[in-house]
Amino acid sequence: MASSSHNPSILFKRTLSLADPSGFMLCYDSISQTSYPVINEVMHSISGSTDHNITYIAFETLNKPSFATNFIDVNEIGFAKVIDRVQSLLPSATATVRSKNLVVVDSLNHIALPHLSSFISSLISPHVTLLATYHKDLPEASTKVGFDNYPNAETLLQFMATSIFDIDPLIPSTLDSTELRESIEKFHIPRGLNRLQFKVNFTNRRRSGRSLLYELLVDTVAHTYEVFEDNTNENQEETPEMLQDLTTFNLSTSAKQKEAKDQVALPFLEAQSEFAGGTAIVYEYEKDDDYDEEDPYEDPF
Amino acid sequence: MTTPQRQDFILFSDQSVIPTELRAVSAEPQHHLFLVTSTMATQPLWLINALVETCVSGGPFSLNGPSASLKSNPNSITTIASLVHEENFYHNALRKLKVNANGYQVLDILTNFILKNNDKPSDKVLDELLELFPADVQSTIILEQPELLLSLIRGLTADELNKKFILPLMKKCKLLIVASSIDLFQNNENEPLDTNNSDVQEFTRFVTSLIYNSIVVMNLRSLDTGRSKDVTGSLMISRGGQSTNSPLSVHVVENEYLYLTQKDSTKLFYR
Amino acid sequence: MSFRKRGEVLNNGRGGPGAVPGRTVPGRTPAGMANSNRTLPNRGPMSTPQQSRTLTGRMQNMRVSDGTTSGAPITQNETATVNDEQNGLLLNHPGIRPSPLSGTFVTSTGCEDLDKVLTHMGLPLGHSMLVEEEGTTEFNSILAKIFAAQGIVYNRVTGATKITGGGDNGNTHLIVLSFYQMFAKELPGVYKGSKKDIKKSKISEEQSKLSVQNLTEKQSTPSRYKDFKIAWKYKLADEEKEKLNAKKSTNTQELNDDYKDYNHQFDITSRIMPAPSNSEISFISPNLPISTILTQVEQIIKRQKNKLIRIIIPSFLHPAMYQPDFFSLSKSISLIHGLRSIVKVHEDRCVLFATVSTDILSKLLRIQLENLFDAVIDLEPFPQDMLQFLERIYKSQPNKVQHGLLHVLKLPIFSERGEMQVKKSEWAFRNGRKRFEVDEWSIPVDDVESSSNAKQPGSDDHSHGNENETSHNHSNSSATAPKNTKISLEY
Repeated sequence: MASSSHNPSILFKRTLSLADPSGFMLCYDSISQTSYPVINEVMHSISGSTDHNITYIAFETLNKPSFATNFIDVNEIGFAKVIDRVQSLLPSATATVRSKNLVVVDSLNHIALPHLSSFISSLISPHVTLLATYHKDLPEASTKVGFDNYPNAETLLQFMATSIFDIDPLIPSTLDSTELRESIEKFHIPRGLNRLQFKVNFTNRRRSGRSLLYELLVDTVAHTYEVFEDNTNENQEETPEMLQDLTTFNLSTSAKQKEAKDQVALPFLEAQSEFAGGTAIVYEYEKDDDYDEEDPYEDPF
Repeated sequence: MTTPQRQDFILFSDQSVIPTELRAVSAEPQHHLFLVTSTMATQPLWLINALVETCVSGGPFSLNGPSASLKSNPNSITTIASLVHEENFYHNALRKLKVNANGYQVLDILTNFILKNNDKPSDKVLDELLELFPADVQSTIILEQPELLLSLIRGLTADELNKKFILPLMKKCKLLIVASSIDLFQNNENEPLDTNNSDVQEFTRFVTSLIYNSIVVMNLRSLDTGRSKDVTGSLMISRGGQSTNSPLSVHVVENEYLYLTQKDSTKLFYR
Repeated sequence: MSFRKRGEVLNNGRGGPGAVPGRTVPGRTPAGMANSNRTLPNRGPMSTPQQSRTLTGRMQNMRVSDGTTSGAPITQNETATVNDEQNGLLLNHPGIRPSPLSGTFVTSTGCEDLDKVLTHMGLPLGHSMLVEEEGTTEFNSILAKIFAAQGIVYNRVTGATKITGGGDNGNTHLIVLSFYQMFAKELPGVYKGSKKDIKKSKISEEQSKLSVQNLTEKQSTPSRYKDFKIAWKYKLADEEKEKLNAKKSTNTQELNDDYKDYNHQFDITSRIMPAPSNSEISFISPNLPISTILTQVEQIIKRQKNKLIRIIIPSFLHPAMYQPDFFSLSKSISLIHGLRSIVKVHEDRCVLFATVSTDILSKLLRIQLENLFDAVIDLEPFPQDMLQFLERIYKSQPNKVQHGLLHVLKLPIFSERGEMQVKKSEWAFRNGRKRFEVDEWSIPVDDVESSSNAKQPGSDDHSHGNENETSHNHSNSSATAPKNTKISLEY
């Protein structure tokens, strides 16, 4: 999965601080964990470096974020004029500029599928990085007929993006992932979601053409990024402690017993071994067998 | 069983329901959304009343008994608009709570809505609806069941409703409180929802967008075990999509209460 | 099935008489009996509507100032006991009474048990009710017909035996959303009772006059304590009830007798005679544009001023009557929303009653519909094998075979106030020739011998797990208990 030659945390940090040229960073989020902490984290990462020109294209947000240099309320000016307005705020592709430009879009769900790819490609240029959110749990608005073979928005965006932050909440301790999904489906939002610590499935597309996928645990309070360790499986493993004090019976097994248990060859294992490739039922008549000619179920052959 | 202790109704870390930042006049206009989700079995009248009371009188006195009087917000009026309840329904309920009638107004958008709007294009209907609301960037608007518009206006999509009504309405006030019914999404086990149905998709899209836009989500629902004598249901307070993006200095206090509604009074308990 | 049997199961000390006007109901609690004699003539044919048109000057003024918009409080019976001008129409209308729980005015659905399920003893004015039915059975249309018939009967009550006829005279008007005009001719007539019943009722009337005997009867321990070993808990429950009753009997018994024409019993095999005329019932075809339907309803309500308006939508969205496009939300929900708005505007004299088969509805449509009604109940008929099972168990008492479960999804006033009123599988219904009965549901014991006994305590012991109902759902057991044993002998 992860390439050993890279430290995922450092790579993630570089991506957040826009050190690596990355044209289109896509945040996949859901109501259980929205992308705002990631966007804020980007702002935090770049705040120390050279001045950035940040344009916020808001389909949903009404309050101008403090970091935004320019704030474009799409509903006010209409979608058709957005591109022109943004272009006027950005340097042209050929110009030589020192400052970096970042365009934040909230969110791409509000762009109809036919306009989506042209919208994105018209924004991306060598000086401009696009940081856009796409809500993965918002059902796609019905598109016009004639787009039967066109990829859906999610596929399209995944294809176009150079970095993908697929954001998942840390599952609250009171629930398991199925329960969480079921409550969200009912719009019963449990406690402990939308926190400042969350999990990011980070896809990084390298210039070399390689694509790397990391699972990271992101803490936007302490600004630490660690490789996410899935310890849910370990918990499933039976430990002697788990069986203590459950009953008055002794349920635990000693190391020796366990070893003996592991060495028992299970009957079906032989069937899986290589030379048992062709299967056949071998029946040998023994003297104690009670073979009945009349019984149709007796004889399987 | 001893009587469990009554609890105060708190939404934010400064022990308030509506933080002072949202009640004070702010220089730069801010627009926020609270979402109340409920079902037929657990309707939100008492919660809406408590929120109105907080806006008008300064605190949810109907929920936690008399407490130190907070400064009420004399700057602006609170507007209540419902697509399912008539004007008197709220007047009567709020009168019983002795909420100062000068502090709020009720917009009747139920009466003759169909007769007035049946044949109009959706944009016009939404524009006219918007005009009914006062444009006061310091005020609070409470809107009940806007999702009904998806049924009532032919061809209206969730995105249009959101962009042409909910967001512009948010811009007209400082705090918009939307009470929405989510019956459609309950009981999925017994009666699965046809997710390919485009109407269902619009409803899902609308409610999901509301959650994305809200700071706090208050969910009212009945107990899984059914009706009970001493508990009406549970009130879950959880962070909405904007909770990590809000310019407010306070944060949402997530909580789950049990509540009991009897006659005109509601009591909250911790779960 | 005897008249008395019904009293036993259903009379709860508040139920109001389920009888033909002018006749006392047996099976009522003794306190009620004593009162009934006094109050019976209260509402007799004291004035024909023509007479009541000659109003006092004050009343006429009110009417003029009221204009056409809202229901003017014009009375039909100026001479009635209560003389509250504000609520003149409400107080003197035979089909309007205050809810014992909230004080709001309610009107009967025509089915006494359904009124009880609604807990207000009826449907509050300005409110709407939806009856849903699972499957392809047609119990809902019977309820719609009874609801309609009850309206017609109200309209004919004040005129005593003769139908008043003529446009402005009645007190009630029906608006039926249907193009099936035969609906009017199919409405059931008031149940007259069999000869045996009439005889019995006379006897009990006699009995009720003997107040001394009544007193002793009340004092004595209910005979069911002696008849079979009863757990001491039942006795406690009885005592509890008695206490409650003692508190309430004084006022509620009187109330009951004041509303003697409030609900009637209908014989679904008979027809209301003569058939309702155009002055009593208006039909509107659902295949008109929504705004036309709503305008027409509005106009009829304005024309029929000072009357109780009962709007009925029988079998809403029945595919034979409704075009496919009606299943789009913007049509069906708009129509109901519009009607809801009308009912709320005329909340002092208007109710809406609709029935629908849920089989033809998608989950979305169903929930959107339910959302717009103030009261929603759901009928879930038993499948065939369950019916057979019940028939086997109640072999000796075929009257006890219930036809399905009745689920309460929403109750008027309480639900919108935020109270949780969903009651699933707490009630069961049974549709007989003379009555649509609703009983507390209990899974019967599969033992023919014990079932007849076991059912008895359960049937009048409504307080279990149903505390909200306690105040009005129990009967004065000291009176009904002795009767229970008599009934079991009848079978």
